[in-house]
Amino acid sequence: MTILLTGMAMAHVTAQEMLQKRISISFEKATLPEAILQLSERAKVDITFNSAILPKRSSVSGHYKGQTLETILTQLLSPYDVSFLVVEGQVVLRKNRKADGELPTLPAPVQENDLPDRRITGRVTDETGNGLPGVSILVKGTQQGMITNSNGEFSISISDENTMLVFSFVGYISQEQQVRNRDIIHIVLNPDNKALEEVVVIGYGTQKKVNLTGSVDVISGDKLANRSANNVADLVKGASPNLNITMGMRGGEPGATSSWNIRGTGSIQGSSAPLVLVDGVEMNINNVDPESIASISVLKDASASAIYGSRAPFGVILITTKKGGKGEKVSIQYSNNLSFASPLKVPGFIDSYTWATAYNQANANAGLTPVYSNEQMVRIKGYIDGTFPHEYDPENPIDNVFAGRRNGNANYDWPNVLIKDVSFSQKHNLNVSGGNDKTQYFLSGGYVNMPGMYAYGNDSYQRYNFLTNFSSRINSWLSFNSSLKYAKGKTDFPLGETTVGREHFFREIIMFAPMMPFYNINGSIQSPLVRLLQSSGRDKTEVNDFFITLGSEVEPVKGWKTNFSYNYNLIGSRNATNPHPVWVELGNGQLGNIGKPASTYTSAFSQNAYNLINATTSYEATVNGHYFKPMIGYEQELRHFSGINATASNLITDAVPSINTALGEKTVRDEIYHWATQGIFGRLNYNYNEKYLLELSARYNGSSRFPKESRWGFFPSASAGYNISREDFWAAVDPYVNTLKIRGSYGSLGNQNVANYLYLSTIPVTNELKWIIDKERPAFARAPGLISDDLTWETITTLNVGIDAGFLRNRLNLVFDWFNRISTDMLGPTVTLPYVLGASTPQSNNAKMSTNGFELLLSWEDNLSNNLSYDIKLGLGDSKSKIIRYRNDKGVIDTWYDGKQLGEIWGFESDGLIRSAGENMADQSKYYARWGPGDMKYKDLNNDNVINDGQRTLADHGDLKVIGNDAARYNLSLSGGVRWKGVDVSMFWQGVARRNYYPDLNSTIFWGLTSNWGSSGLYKNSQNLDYWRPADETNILGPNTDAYFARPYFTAETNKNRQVQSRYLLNAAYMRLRNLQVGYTIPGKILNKAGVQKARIYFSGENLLLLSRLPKIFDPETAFASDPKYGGYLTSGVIYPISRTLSFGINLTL
Amino acid sequence: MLMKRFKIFHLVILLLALSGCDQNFLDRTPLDAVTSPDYFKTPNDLRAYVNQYYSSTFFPKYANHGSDRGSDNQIAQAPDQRLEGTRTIATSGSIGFGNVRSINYFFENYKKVEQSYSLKDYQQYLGEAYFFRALIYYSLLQTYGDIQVITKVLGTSSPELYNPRDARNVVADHIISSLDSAAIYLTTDKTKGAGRVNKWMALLIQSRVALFEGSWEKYHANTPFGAAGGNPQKYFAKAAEAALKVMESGVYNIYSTGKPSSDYKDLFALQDYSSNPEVMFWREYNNDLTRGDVDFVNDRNIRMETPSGNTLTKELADAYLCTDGKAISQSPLFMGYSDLTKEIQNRDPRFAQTIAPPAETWKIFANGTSQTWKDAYDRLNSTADFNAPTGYIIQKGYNPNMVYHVQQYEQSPAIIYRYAEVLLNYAEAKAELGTITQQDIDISVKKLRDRAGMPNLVINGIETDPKWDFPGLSPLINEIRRERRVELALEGFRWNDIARWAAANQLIIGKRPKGFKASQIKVNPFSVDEDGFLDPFKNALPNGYRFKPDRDYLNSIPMSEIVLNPALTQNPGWF
Repeated sequence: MTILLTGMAMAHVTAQEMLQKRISISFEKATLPEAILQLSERAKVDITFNSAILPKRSSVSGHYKGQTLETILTQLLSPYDVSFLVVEGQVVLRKNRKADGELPTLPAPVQENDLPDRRITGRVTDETGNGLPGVSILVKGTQQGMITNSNGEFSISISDENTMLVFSFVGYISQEQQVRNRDIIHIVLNPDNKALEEVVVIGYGTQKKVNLTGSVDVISGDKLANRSANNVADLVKGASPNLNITMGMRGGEPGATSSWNIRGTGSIQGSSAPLVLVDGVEMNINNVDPESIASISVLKDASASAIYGSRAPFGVILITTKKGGKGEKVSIQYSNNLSFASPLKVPGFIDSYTWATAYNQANANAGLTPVYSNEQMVRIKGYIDGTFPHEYDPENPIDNVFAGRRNGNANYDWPNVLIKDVSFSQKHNLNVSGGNDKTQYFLSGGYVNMPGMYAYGNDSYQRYNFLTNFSSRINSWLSFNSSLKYAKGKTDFPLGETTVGREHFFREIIMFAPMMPFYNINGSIQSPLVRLLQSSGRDKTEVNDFFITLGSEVEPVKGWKTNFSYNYNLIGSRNATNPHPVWVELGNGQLGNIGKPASTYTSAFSQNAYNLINATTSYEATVNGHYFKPMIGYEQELRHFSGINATASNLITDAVPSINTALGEKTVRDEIYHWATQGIFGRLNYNYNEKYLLELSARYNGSSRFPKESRWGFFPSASAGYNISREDFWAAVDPYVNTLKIRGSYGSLGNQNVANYLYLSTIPVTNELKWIIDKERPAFARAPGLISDDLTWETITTLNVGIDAGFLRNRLNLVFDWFNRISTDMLGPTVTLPYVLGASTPQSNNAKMSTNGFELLLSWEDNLSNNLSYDIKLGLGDSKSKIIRYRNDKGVIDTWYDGKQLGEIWGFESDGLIRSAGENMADQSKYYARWGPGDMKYKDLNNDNVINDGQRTLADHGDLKVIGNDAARYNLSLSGGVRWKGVDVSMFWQGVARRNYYPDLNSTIFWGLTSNWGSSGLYKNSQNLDYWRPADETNILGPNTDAYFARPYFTAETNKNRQVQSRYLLNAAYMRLRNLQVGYTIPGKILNKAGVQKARIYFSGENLLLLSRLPKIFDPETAFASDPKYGGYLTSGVIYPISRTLSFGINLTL
Repeated sequence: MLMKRFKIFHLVILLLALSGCDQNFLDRTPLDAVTSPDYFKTPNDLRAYVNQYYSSTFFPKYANHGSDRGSDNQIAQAPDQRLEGTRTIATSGSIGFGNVRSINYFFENYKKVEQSYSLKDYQQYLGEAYFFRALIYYSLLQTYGDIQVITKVLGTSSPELYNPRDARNVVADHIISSLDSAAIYLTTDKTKGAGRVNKWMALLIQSRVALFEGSWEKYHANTPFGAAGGNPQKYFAKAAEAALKVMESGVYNIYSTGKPSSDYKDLFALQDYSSNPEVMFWREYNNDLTRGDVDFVNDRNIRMETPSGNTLTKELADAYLCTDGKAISQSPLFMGYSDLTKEIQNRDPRFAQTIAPPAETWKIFANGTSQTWKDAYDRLNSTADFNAPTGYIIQKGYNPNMVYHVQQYEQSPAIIYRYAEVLLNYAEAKAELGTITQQDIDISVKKLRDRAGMPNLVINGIETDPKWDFPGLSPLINEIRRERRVELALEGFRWNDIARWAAANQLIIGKRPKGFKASQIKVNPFSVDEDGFLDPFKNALPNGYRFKPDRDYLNSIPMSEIVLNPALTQNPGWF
């Protein structure tokens, strides 16, 4: 942030007179900007400067008696590489060295006589319309030019209309303008956010970006603003290469969590999630308000995150919240977003008659009788044709709550009946910030309301956020800061199937046939799914995340800073469910209950407390160009969780659900755990003239999760960098390559992300046996699992090599990183042991894997004439992991083995469908006794004339081979924007360039007809009906001998055709237009009258376009998230859908 | 000034250092679980530990529509894969030895309790541990035959991991001796049957296991499934002895209220077995305690309202004798197959209490009105619920009173062990031993016949039935097996009986299950054979079941396990 300050002045005098003015003045611990302002006032001379070029924390003391202004300024400014000159009656302060190290050339005054009498006037402003003083205007190709006055105005004589003027100013992006026939030129300069003076938040401190040696990517808060996404995950997805964010098992449900990793899988047992720190402390990212984020640093390699030791083996995400600025007047910002979301890829049912025909065929193929009888087929047809008016047979009405799906004859597209077309969400945010030299503050409040997609029994997510950041300087060597954060998240869902949970809902909506009646003949609702949503009771959760930081900084000697901080986080959570009977009126007039036998009430409270104490001390000094910054620190953390869960049955009334108002059995259980870490760490930064960079860091870390003997680990790292472009010899290349830095790092970290108490043998005791013994359900105990008492850290070692380069006046920027990460002592089962062991083998540290890949960031940013600027940025990240060592002596392919690539899919090569009986083919009898036309033929890869999978070992895997890989490769992002006057347009694409997907055997939306009718379904926009039917098929579907799917059977026989095979390996690569936005910033003139500093309105769309090669019915993200292989639940292919969102928002700054 | 700053600074550093110097800061032991050394100190610990085995894994209940699918008694909509011979070798997966380890853990640790308690304080739980050890191994024996007998808790480097399989008689002996121990320690109280196991249940299981092993060794002798050095007689003797102990205890008796036409049926539809003389062990369902837990409901009645594809075979139907004690092929009383009402006339009353006769009550509504099964037969095959491949609707286990028909959380209790099995085990074991006398029959089979109102089985008066299942065996064995089939129909015994008798050749291979006369139903989507009987698998099994008698009696050992343990051999026929 730059602020232009201009001191007041009275009269016009010559430059020389001005500088020779003699003044007496004293400063007492003033900051440099303050001193300059006082000087300006005293000397009655305009002094203009950009606050960005002066150090904020400077402290000036001194007494001057009758010294010239020139002398005082020289003394004040010389330590800071800032010089001054007199332009048009004012003193302008300038940074001596431009960001890229080049010395600025001062425009020489234009020689009046050389030029014809053509005079151009104009004004240079910043993006908010304020005049920019001190902007250098150079006639291109000459050394001549001038500088704008305190209002940003200028007047210059030129030779002809082809003259090109170059406008430049520190901290802003330079612009070139051809004069043409204009007499007045108005220029808007945009701030240069990428200026290399940029300071980046790193572990326990900050660092100038130019001096970074590790792999650190920064996502600035502006990039995240103005999106309709309601949580950080949705916003950050794709924003940094190899920061991978994937959907969790709840899919697009409001308030659902996602899983994060940096640079792919790093551990096969524990978690590979990065450490997420908000202002230095671990926090649940779901509870962070995107609007309060100032910047996000993504620390990817070991050197960047080594300082966190065992806590951050797989990278760190440092979120910094906004703070008030010094000398900033009170600013109030309001923003909102109103959005309409519509679900994507809701599978729609085909018509009931076709459905029934296909089901009956699958039964007939298996030699079974039809699922739908002839009589019912007549009704189904009649209902569609309008000749049969009822949804079921009134003579034999539905008499069982779930029988409608079998015996009805309606024709509903249930998924689309039960899921809404659109839902309206909103978010609002109010920020107040300000500060003076002593005290700065930032206050923020946010609200998000996000209703879900259920068409009945609404679901919703709401979040309230409050944040205050406050810092105060007590005196010259002591300051305090505090931060208070509070988030309240509330979710409210219908319970769905009370006995099994709402996860089952999506399974049922895609499997409960279109025949299922909605209404009884008397008009009441018969659909069990509608009734479950309407009145199965609610699942309500409220999470209160309270967070406090108290910190102080002591700087007794300049450059020696010591920081202490105490952080406390308390997450209180309350969940209440109240399942009760759900009465459904059946076709025969009776009532059936699809809910619980009696009302019950469950209340769960938990308290998750986290204490973090740390202290760091560092000294910073520059001696003859040698910069040193040693730092050491201590940290300890302790987490203590306790939860209690009580259930009571037989509520007196559902209107008052509580434990007290229940008459039945009551049970209580609890969960308590704790863990702690301690660490001592240190870091040494060194550079010479910001040219040669070196960083060493290490952490000695202890964790309670390991046995005493192997509890402590030492994790060092080193990195170095070389800013080649700062060498003198670089001048020759400078016009093309402005900056070039190479860097490399190597280091190791520990991973303590394993379960608590793994090294202790405990007897699991559980309440409530699922058996009644003598009129009660007693507690029961089980045998302890096998334990490994020599458990210790996984060690993650990363080698990283990177290049940062800027080309063509730093308009083109390139960042490239290559890494190789080795996880040693990785936890894996010691060995797969014979079954007689009767237990899961304990984990021990004996596996090893490597992950390597790269990140590439390429960006182009430019300002064209006529206030037009644009930028485009391409990000590409890739990682692939391979097992180096794993104890699997026999090389069983179903588990890990040495050399296994993560994501490998073993399967048969498909040889197409059998066309005629008796066709020449290998013996496939291992998979079924009978094979005939329409069944699958597999390729006999090992030419033994038998299709089998051998012993499923590397040495003997029969006809299996690796047919694909389902690890996500080449994560792509592409963003771009154009700004013209107040209008801005931006877009953001994200995708995965290579990935296979193999549909689970239970994936109804892929296979359509599975091995039994109860878990099948047939959908529009799918390949479901493209299954083999004989050439003489007479049903309405007709023959299909050239089918995609083999002949279906509604028995396990169908699996013979569905062995994992090349034919059904899908391409899951995709590219998605995540965001498209058009905004308009209302010009300052209009606003100022209304007392508004800045106003922007925008329209934004999320997930507008999808390019994917998967069958149309699949969404590439939910496909994986729902698949049990990737942590999905139950029904592969379908979970809570993600949404396409159209939104409108406004940002106001008062 | 500067010194003052340093002093403050150093003070803070000191404080921090002190707080960080807590030596035990990283010692964080579990707060809601006990570590192993703290357990097994009191009888309560032992009780809680053995409680884990009270589960449907060890106590399969009498399920809705019975449990004889996969045998020649009952079919579902698709042919059973084992009978059809289409099972494939298991490639991956494991064999469940978790319970073996778990029970061994008990035996290695329970003695800690002796420090403060005497045997009588905990012998019940010790007895239960022996009892469950037997059940654990019996299940393995049935599924895999010979298997490793492991009696200690193995570690990752225990040499026993690579043991070869122990011969099946070693496994059987381990089970039987466990039950001997169980019988010593367990209570002799009858209990209310829904509490903890007792001595008599242990003896029931012992007779069951011994009979299983004895007949397996006898009838599979000289096949790949036979036991080397088998000794069937030893097991038959043990089976008879164990059964006799239960019979002589006088604790149990056959449930009878003197109503032959309904006692047998009623037994399975009662709402409480607490004081029932016959039901030795049963499972209680109580919504107050289960709160609708989905794994924990018994909604048998509502599920049995309609056949839903589960029906009895003609083969079972034909096994019921006529009331004169003669087989239908011999008795003049048999009325033919033309319709079900006739077919059940003059037959063993258990027939009409196992299937649903059209004239009997189907539903009794709360308002007192009722419907008969005829209404159900009229709607047969009209919808999926009424799908009845063989026509014979099952009513054993069903209570027509609609009060008890509650979706998802009906509370009907389920029988697990009943005394009738003891009598049948006894009779069969004695018959196999060749020492059976009429008196043995009178104290066993006769009791069952009496309840049903059937004439006694008279050893010397058995009339030859040309349709006997086992023409190569004695008439008495044939009739005792028939009695077992009829009395225990649908209770889940049939497949094991076929397996231990090695009877697939006679009962399964090349055969197709048939139903009743197709002419008596309105809607029939099923095939019909040349004689007019329902033949639902005519298309699916053109040549009948293709059960492989040299393979399908046992499950395959997962291939991955063969790889892991070189000493482990595959079961016969699997490759």
